[in-house]
Amino acid sequence: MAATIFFWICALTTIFAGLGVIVARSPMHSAVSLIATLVAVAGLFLTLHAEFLAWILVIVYTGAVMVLIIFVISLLNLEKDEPIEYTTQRKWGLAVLALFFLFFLAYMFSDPMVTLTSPDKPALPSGWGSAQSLALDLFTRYMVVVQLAGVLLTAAVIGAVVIARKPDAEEGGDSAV
Amino acid sequence: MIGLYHYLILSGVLFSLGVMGVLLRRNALIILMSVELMLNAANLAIVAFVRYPLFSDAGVIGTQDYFAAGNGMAMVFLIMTVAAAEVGVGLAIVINLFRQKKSVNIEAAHLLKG
Repeated sequence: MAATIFFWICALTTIFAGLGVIVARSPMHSAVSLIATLVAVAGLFLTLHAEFLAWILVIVYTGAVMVLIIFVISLLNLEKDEPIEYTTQRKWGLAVLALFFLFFLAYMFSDPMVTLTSPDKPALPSGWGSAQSLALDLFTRYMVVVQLAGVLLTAAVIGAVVIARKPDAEEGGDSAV
Repeated sequence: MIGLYHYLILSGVLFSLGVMGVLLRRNALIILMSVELMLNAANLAIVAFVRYPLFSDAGVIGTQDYFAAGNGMAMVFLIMTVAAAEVGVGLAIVINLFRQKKSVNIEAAHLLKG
């Protein structure tokens, strides 16, 4: 029962904070809403017994990525956006999006096997969702993928430095990478 | 009782919110955050599929085989890596855009227009 209540709290927080991300006029309010969304998603991960991923989500996203985004927002000193204008074109786009969503929902529940209570949760082996079980996967079966992720991060860091560099830094010579 | 489909519907709602943000907003930073929403919706769906067993014609797939292949969590872990890389490069592009146009409105970004 407590788990059910916890799920609904996290689910409603996710939806309303997610809505806050896209309707807030100030980017800073959007960023704070996104942090609330991510913390709620981490709570949902906890209800799914993915404990390590939940902590990683909080540490990596709200601890690193969101700090970076908030840092850029305050660095650029942005003023408030103009409110969203709902042109006819956009209204049609939203209607099509809603229609697609309802269609997929109807398609999903047209399967007789799909009900809101199924399927049952299996019993979990001990240590499921822990750092150890994930590490055993990552450093044995997915070793190559982990190495590739490292290459990707290196490429992203170099790319970010090159893109964000001041254009006239090239003429200086010594400050160029 | 909460089941797999609660999580899937929630994931769909979150993904739709992300799509709406990308389509409706003109602020590059908010578009970047909406992309984060979509990535997290995908993560949520994957973690839900990891937790709940799949059905086959023979019934529920044996938990023994199922949990031996706990690869969904590794996938989520790698998606987070890719998202972090994406945010780094995306913010660099936003800063560059702001430096050139004094605005992060994507309507201002028509540098490639002939």
